Amino acid sequence: MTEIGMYGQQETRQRVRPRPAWDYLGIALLGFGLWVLLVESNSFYSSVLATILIWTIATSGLNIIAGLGGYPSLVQGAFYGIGAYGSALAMKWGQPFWAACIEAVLAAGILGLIVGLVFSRTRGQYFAIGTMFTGLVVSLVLSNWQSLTNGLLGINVEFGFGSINQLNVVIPAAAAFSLMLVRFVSRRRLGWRLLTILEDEDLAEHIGVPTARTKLTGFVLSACVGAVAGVLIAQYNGTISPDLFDYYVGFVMFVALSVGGAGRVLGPLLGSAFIVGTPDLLNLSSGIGLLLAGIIFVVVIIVIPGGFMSAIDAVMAAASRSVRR
Amino acid sequence: MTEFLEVEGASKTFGGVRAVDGMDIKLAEGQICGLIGPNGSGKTTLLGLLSGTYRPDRGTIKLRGQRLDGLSTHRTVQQGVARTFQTSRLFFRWPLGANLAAAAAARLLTSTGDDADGGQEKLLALVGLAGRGDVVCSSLSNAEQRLAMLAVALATRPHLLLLDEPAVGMSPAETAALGQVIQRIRGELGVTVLIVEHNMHFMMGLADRIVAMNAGRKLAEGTPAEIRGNPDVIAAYLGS
Amino acid sequence: MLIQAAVNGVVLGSLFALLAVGLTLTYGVMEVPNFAQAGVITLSAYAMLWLNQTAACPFWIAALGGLVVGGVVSVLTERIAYRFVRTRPLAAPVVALGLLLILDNTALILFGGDHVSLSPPYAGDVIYVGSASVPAVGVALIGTTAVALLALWLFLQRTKTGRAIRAVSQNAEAAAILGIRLERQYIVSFFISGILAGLVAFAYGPMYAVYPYMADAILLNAFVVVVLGGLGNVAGAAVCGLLLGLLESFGAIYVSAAYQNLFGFAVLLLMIVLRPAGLFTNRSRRVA
Repeated sequence: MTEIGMYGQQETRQRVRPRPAWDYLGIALLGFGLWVLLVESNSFYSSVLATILIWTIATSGLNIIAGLGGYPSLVQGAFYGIGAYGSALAMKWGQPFWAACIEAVLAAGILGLIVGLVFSRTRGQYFAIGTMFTGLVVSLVLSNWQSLTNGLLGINVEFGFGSINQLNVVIPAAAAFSLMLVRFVSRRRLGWRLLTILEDEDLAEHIGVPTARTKLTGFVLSACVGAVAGVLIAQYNGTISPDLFDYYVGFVMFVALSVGGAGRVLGPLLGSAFIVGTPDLLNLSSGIGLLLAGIIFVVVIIVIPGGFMSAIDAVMAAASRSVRR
Repeated sequence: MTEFLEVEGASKTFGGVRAVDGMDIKLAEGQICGLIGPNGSGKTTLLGLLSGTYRPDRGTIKLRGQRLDGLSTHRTVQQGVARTFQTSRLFFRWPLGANLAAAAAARLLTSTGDDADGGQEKLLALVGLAGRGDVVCSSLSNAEQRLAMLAVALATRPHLLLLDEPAVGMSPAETAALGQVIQRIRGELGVTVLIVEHNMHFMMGLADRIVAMNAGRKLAEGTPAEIRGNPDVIAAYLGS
Repeated sequence: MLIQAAVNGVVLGSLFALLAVGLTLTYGVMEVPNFAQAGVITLSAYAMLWLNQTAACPFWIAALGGLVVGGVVSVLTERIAYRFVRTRPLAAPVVALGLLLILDNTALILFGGDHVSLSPPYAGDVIYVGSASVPAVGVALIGTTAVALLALWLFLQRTKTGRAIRAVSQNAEAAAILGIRLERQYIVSFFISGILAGLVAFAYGPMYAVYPYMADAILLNAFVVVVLGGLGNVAGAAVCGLLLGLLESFGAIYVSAAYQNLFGFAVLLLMIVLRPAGLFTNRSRRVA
């Protein structure tokens, strides 16, 4: 099946189908490399990388409904938050770690189902606005339900892994799995159905695609993966507070996906690296760093609307053309 | 005996306007039926009722004895109804082959629509687009796009094909070719065809039967020759 | 209690209306949500501050200068950024975020992050309406909004340019066929939107404080209003702004201050699901 970026290249590349095993192997190797980087870097770079990887998981989840399906969901931050708070609270109430994770993901999935049903007839910019405000409602609840979440002060998170080393393995592994998941989905029925919805939802319906069900499945799946990321950030940070999941987090995740390359497997990784890395690493003085980041966002999205992945495509296509000559 | 397609008393109102008002139509399998009428007579709405875009306020629609009314569009497709549109609709950024694969997969529940039996090529040849499977749809000419849309509809293996003004924007030569394609669709694939069209000349030569509509109701029904001479039909067109 | 809530509501509503109208103007013309408006407000406020305090201009001259800065900055955002993403609506959030970062952080770099107060001559005065009190800056806000909306209405209804903008907002293709030059309308719309942003700075700055992120929070509420009133519908934005202000004000006093924003959002969610085209629009826009 052809891969199609969200902003529409003029031509789709009809590759001879590569054997899928190679893709997964490549991603696995990438995951291994990231693990090495994670444990070998000093603590500052290591924590930036960990955040990047956790964001990769969340935006990879988002890639399913927004990248493949073309639905601009700005609520991923809320599922991220539910994963974090859900697992932390479940453990506080005595659940073992593995159960807490499952419960948090389930909670996110249920919320995803509700939100997906509520917005099942909403599209485009209205879907974006609606999901953004849903994220806002969730973060308002997290901030204000003092008895449950301790409000703005946040809560401590019980460490659920056996050791820090385990956590350091799980994070890059989960990131790699999230990339593989998108790869897997895009080749299966759910994936290409979402792609038809991206291209022309009404036409998709007219060729027999059950669009409502497909969108809902994609949305719930996105939510669950987002929750997994939330579980890990809670574990990594040790404490969580509502401002980590404010409504604009969902917005920024969408931006990260767009900048990296929506609909592309590696898009989330590149986008997260850029969005999380740039402000942290360009630490001139916080104002200048963010100013530069803003300029880069605008320039990138105007010059390469398909995100970094489409720029890489273009470079590789040009390179293979010159090699053939 | 159950008719192939039975529409009984179908009505649809939009905001106070009765777009379709008590329509009755019976089609036998393998017929090519033309649906004519002045603008606003409810032809496209009727197609919408048949394809599941709209749910009739009253009346029933049955295909081979199965109720179609009330089904969502993708379910009507699975029951064997396909339609084309007044303007070309395709997955324009994709090659034609990918469009066909998607349509075939949706109906047959295969995972990616592998074209194992070469069905795609046969379909393309049938509509006159042989060998064009690798062309990105946005690069096709207008007439080619309309034929491509036809092929995509056929890829869902329908029993009933609804064509909404298929000849719009075609030259006389292209229109004649289209007429032959539709004959082949009925003859070789056994698909029953219902065509909404303004081009009378085209319809007269092609259809077995014609149903004329006006203001949401059936005005007249019969062979092309009968319809051509029908004073009510003539009045409706001249008066509109 | 009731009167105080009503008075607060009118003040808040005026702010929302002023903000929302500025947003909806550009929304109608190019279907892109202009989150960068918050940054325009910020820079406009700082311009006023600088003119008034560093350059020692009289307050009203400084205010005028701020308005001009607002207009110019807004046009710049269109010329160097939004112009390129008109055909790609999904790129708009990225551009908006980028612009917001640029504008807010320019303010941060040039002026520092401290909360500064912008003090018009009437700051500190309080006016009494029955048993309720309203600060003079609040009255100024109401007055500014009223005057601005009237002026805008006259402009859109009575002038050639204004009518052209309305035409573009309804149907850009048809307007182009009729000979209206789209580019010019975009620029004018953004300029007016920038002036409105400057008016927000003028009215809102004295109420709270001037700092780089001053407008980010209220922009969200303005956005609710824009959607409620119908994207691109100026009258709708004005009316809904007032209504939302009253709704939130009563909600805060009679139900719960913490969840004040929630009422607006709840209404918005309901709207999007039931009537995405807005409460007042009767034209059917393609939703996708």
